[in-house]
Amino acid sequence: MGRIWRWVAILCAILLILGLAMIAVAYASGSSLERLRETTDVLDMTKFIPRERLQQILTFFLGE
Amino acid sequence: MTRKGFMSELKNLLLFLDTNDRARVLKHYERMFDEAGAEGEDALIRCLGSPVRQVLQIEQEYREAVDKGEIPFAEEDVLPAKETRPAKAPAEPEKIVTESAPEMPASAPPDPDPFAEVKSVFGLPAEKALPEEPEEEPPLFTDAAERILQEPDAKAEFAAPAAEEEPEPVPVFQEPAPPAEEPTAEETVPFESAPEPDEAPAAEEARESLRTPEEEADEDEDDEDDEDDDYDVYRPGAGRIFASVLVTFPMLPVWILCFGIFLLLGVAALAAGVGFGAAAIYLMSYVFSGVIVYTPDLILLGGGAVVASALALLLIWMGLWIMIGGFGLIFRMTGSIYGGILGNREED
Repeated sequence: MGRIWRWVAILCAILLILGLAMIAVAYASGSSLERLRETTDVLDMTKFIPRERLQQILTFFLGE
Repeated sequence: MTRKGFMSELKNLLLFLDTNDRARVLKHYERMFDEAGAEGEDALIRCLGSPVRQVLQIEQEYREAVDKGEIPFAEEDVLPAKETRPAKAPAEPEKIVTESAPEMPASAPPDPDPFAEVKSVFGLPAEKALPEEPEEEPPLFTDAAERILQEPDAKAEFAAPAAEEEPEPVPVFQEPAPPAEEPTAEETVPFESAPEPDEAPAAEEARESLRTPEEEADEDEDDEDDEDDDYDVYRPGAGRIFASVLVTFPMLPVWILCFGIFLLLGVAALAAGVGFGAAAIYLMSYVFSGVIVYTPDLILLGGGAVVASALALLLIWMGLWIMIGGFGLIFRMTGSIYGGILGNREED
C-alpha cells in the first residue's frame, strides 16, 4: 500500500506540474477559457446534459 | 527418514536445551551416524525410533538431572559409545561410595519407576560417577544402537526385526556382564537414584529392538497422544463464548456503519476519479481532432487534460485504498475484539 501510494503521488505530482505549466504557458500565449468557449464547443456541456439539468447543477454549485 | 531429516527434526525439537548442550547432543548423534556409515543408517534410524521419542527421553533425563541438582549433559565431550556400555566397563570399575545413595541389593528386581524405560533406552552406564562429578556424561542412545555400530553382524540381525512371535529369548542384545562388574548399591550413576541389575537393561533393550512395526506404531501414537496432552488445543470457556455472542449485537450496527462509510467514501472517490479520467480523455480528443488550430488553445486543452488525468489517478487510487484499507481495518478490529474476548493460549 505504502509503495503504491508513493508511486501514485510521484506520478500525480509530475502530471499536475506538467499540466499546470502547460496551462500557464497557454494563458501567457493568449489563450483562455473564454476564447475556447467562443471558438469551439469543447466547453458546451449541453452535448451531454440537457440544458435544464445543467442549469440546476450550475445553480446548485454556483448559486443564483 | 534419512539421516539429514532425522538430525534436522532432532535439532528443531531440542530447542529447550541451551546451545552447548544441544550441540553436544547433536554431535553425539552425528558421531553415531558417522560410525554407522551409509549402509547402517537405516538400521540405526530404526533402532533410534522417531526424533520425537528421542527428544522425550532426553528431556526426561534432563529434567531428572536438574531435579537432582546435577549438571545435565556434563561439560566434557560425549564419550564414545563403547566407553559407556556396561559390558565394556573397565576391569576395575571405580566404585564410589556415596552417603546419599540408598543401598540396594545387587539382585534387586527391576526398578518399577516410570523412567525405567528411559533409563534402559539410554543404557545403564557402566561408568559410575558421583553427582558431584558430572563429567560422566549420560549415554544418549541405546546399547542396541551401539551394537549395530560396533558389530556389523548385528546390523543384519536388527534390520530384520522380530518376525518371530517370541522376541524374549533372542539373545542378540543380551550381553552377559561379568559378575564382578555388576553394579552394586554403593555405586551411583548419573541421572539415577539407584543402580539396577545388569540384566534389566539387556532385556529391555532386547524387547525394544525386537518390537514389531505395529508396536512401534502404537508407541508413536502414544507419544503423539502425550504431546497432545502437553499441548492441548485451546478451547474457550462457555462464559467467553457467551460474551462473544453477546457483543455481536451491539457490534452489528458499528460494523454496518463502518462498512457503509468506507464503501461510500471509496465509491465516491472512485467515481470522481473516473469522471476526471473521462474529462481528460474528452479534452485530449479535442487536441488531436484537428478542430482547434490555435496553438495556445491546444496547449490549454492539453494542460487541462493532463491535470484531469493526474486528479483521476489520485482519486481512483484513493477510492480503492479507502475500500481495501477500510475493510481490512474492520476485519482486524473484529479479530481483535473477539480475540480479546475469547482469549488465547498466550494470554492464559
